[in-house]
Amino acid sequence: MELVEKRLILSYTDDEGSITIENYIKKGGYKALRKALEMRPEEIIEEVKKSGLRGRGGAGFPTGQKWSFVPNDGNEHYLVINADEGEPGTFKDREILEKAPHLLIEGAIISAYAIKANEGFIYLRAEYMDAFKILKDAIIEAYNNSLLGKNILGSNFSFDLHLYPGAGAYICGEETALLNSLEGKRGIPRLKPPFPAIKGLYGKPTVVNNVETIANIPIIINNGGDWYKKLGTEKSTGTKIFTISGAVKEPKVCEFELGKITFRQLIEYAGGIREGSKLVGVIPGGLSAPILINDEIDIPATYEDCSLKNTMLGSGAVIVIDDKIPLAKIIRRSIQFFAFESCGWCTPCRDGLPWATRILRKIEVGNGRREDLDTLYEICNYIKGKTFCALGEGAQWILRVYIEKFGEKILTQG
Amino acid sequence: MPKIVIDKKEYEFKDGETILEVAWRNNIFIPVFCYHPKMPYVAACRICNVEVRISNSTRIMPACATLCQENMEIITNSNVIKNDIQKGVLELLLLNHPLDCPTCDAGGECDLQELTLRFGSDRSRYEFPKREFERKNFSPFLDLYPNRCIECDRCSRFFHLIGGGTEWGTYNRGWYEVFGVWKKEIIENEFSGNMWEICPLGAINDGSYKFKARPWEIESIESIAPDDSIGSNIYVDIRKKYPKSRGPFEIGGRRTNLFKVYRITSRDNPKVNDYWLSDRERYSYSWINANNRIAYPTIKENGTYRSVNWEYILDAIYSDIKDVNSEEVALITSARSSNESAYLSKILFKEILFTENVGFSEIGEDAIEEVFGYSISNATISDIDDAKNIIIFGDIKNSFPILGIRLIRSSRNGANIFVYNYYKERYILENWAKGIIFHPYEIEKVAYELSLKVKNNEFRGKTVLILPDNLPYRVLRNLLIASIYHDNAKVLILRTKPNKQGFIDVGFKDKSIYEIIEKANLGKIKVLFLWHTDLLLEYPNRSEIESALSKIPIVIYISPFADYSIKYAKYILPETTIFEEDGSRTNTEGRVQIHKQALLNYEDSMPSWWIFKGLIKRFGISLKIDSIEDIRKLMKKEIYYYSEVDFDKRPRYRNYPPFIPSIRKLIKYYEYDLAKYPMRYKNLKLIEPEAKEVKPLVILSPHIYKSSYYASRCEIFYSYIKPYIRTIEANSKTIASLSIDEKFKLEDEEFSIVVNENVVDNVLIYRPLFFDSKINLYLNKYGSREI
Repeated sequence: MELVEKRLILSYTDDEGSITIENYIKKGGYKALRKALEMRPEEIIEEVKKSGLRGRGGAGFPTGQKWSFVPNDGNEHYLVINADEGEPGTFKDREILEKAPHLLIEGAIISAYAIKANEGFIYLRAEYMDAFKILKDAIIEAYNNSLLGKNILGSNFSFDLHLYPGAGAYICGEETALLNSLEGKRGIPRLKPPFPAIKGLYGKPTVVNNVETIANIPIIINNGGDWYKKLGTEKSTGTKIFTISGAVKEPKVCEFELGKITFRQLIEYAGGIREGSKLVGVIPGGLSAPILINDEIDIPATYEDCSLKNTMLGSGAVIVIDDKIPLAKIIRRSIQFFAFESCGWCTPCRDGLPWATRILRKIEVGNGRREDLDTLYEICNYIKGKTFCALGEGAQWILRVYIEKFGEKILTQG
Repeated sequence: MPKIVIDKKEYEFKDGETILEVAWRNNIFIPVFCYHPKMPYVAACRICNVEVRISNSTRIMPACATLCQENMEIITNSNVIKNDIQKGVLELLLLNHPLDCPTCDAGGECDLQELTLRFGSDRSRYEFPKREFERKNFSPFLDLYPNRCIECDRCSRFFHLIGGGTEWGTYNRGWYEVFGVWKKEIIENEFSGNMWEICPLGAINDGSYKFKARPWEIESIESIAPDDSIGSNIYVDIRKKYPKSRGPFEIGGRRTNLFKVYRITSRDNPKVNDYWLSDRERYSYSWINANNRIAYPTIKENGTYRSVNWEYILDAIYSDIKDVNSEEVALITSARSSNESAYLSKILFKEILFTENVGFSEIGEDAIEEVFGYSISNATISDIDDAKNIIIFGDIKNSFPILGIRLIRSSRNGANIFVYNYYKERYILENWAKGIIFHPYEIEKVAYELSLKVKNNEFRGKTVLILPDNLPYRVLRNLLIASIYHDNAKVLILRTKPNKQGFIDVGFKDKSIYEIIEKANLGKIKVLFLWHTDLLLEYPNRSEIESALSKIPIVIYISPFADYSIKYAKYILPETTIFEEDGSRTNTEGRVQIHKQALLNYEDSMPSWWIFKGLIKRFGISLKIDSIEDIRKLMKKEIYYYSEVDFDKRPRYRNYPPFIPSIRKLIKYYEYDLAKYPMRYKNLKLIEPEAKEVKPLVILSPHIYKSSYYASRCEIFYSYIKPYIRTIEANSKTIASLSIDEKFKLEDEEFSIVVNENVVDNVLIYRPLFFDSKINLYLNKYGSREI
């Protein structure tokens, strides 16, 4: 069976892309906006709810539901777009930001209209220098074409979009840490509740959405929620951008209907495993998703199938691992990343992960003992369920799964 | 009342209470590191995690940050809690802790030590190097050891949220997270000393207490901060008189360490200082052993000094003053002694010597008594907390620093604060308050306009006016009258002398000291008592004061310190200070607070009530007074305001875990009684202001350490005072118009000019270190001089 992509978002990035507004309009851009501005905000939220769109940032929370949490009180609301794409192996947002910035802007305006926000912020990963320039130019273009600013396209709706680069912290991809960073504070997560939808940026109700989620909105408005819902499976509707990297011949960005493809097919789509090596496993959704090994790779790439196998689809960043790199090094490098990026706010993650990294390095150089695995497992227990945010939680999860799935192989496979 | 279940027992809770609060109240002592009862919770350390079961799902939640809900079931002692959380968190915190307890000042009062002993493991599995930081010192008040830090974030939280500072913070992330100072060489915030007190271990230590003592050798005595009239509650820490451990007590046959204050820590009085202290209150204690303390009663005879005993000197004074006319006797004091001393001195001066010449300050006419019927504030300090509008005259940071804590808190809660001054002080510059800046000669006009606004209810909601009592008479009077017309306005009078309220309450009336000086200059004063004050230190206009003092034949100098005017004294009587005597003081809101004797009397010095008792006895009146309690009994009988005051007020207790040293300090708290005052408001009319032409002016201004009677004697403040640099501040426009470039010359003295754009036009500010400059010679009695 030949694999055929279902390119909805990525169709805007085809050929010359849609960096300029002319190209974007040629590809059918800003049609959805005109349509949306004639609808009532509640109708848009209803449409998004109908579509079953789930947040594409990693946690997979239904977007329509998130929007409906925003109180309808007539006060100021904010829309924040999380473009702090720092998860290792993930580069889906970059594709949108650099090749189809107007898709994001259009999605942002519609979303803001739906949640009655008059101000929006794009929090961009600091390392995305090119994207910053492209996005900035696109926003200026949009302002010049009265798509942003006061009375958009002659309607009563006004919306300002601001672009902010981060300062290079992975933790600021966590929504409350992002809000802190955006306010100029230290990038540490906030206590939940209250959730951002009730008390977010500057204490006002705020919706924080991923770039890909927002990019889906114009498509849903154009084609209707029911049409979108027919794509994918019942619980994972629509299409998803996958980024395939690691030990494959042609790492690539592709977009498939959810549930129509397995991870093994994805590897084949990327040209298969690289020459002369054997497949060890696949990390399905960015570094903080536990690894899938053996026949687990044959499950369809959907949110629900992944969680059945004790992992997650996350950001759809498929990292393929072969036997050319020692297992201990992979684990050490993963945990070191989280240890380095831990914000330091709560004890288990701040002190537990660097300790684990040190033990793993010891194992990597061949000095590991059986007890070290026990200590590692206990550090996982120290962290599990006891931290502030999902960073430490994710790190201990993958470490735990590595130990459970490979056991003493970690000590010997060096 | 709704209920939650903790460890299978039901407990009641109020709405908005956290699990930790309910548990502690009921003696279930969940351990904490980052949580502090006086600060907002953050749930960072995670040692207070408990298992919470709501509708059949169990989760691990931080007890300090989880609000109670009905049907919550909480488990605090399961194996998961004990092993994975309490033991686990302690093991993780100790990974990087250097374990240098033997050389750490916090050893013995360290949360980490105590909790590890109680909940932790006795060994660590960590086998790698610990992280290390460079040590830097940013303040004479603090001794920093970042290696010991457990990143609880208490210090940064205090500094930002409560102290309102910006320079201190937590930097880096993860493993290398550490506290530090940003952009500045020295911490300028005046509340920095609180950080060592809330630090759960020895990462931030008291700089002044370094390597001096161990906590188990120390005894804390309740006392009052003597520098200002707020009367912050403090503990004076001294060596235990009967320590269990050995110590170097005997030096030359005398237990010298009993004469020394080791440090000052804060005492919680929610109505006054609310547990916090300013650095001036905390570090101003080395004056107790200043090298100019007076040791023995001394008589000056024919130009030579002779030390004598107390009986002799009191007899000599009696024989000198017994025949003097009552109009020729005067008392000048700065009201720095206890109420009990004030009461006995009142008997001596008002009932035996019948003198009217009593002065505390430069003020004289009492506008407060005229408008309010009695000279007292009608607001309390805690009224600041729920005020909607706060109107302040003067510089709070430099004269009453501890009030700043409440101002910052109210500003955060949305109160509008207005500061009237002739330069932008801290609270204006940091945007806590709106500033109204005017030339000192415009004060009547500005105050009149404000009075009209207050009178016409233009400030909506509860309004508190904070006014120092040395404001010009018309200004104070107009504002007081306006506050009566307002629906909901109260006035907090800030007494510029520490115990002035107590002196007024026992029956003294403040006459301007300049009236007495004038009389003396005319030769109408024969006997002058200078009591715990030094005119040449505290007042400008020095030449006038000097000539007056030299014309008085008998100057009786009662003071702990040998200051400048001692050379005019015939009799020199050493007095004990606040830390060496029992007593009570009435603070600016009328709260009668008790302090206890911490140290033995310095050499031969005696409490001033004992001195006055001796003099009264020589006049043939025998009061049955053997102790301070007898005076209190008498005061309660004789002084209406104090008739219901409880002088034996016991501390109250909270249910906090006794094994966490940094929180143990909060178990005890004190609430002293307000005296009972009759207020009879009078409906008076506002006085229209007199127009005065604005002219260039040099004016004395307060400095938090420089202009304090006690703090300016302490070396620890010298890095802030810079005593040998005399500067005058003015804005560049003034400097240009006066064409003074770098040096400012007044008569024969030179000052370097510091450009300070926050000062209003045509004003030059001089912040004196007491008596460090001859500039006082040329200033008029209000401390200003036209150029």
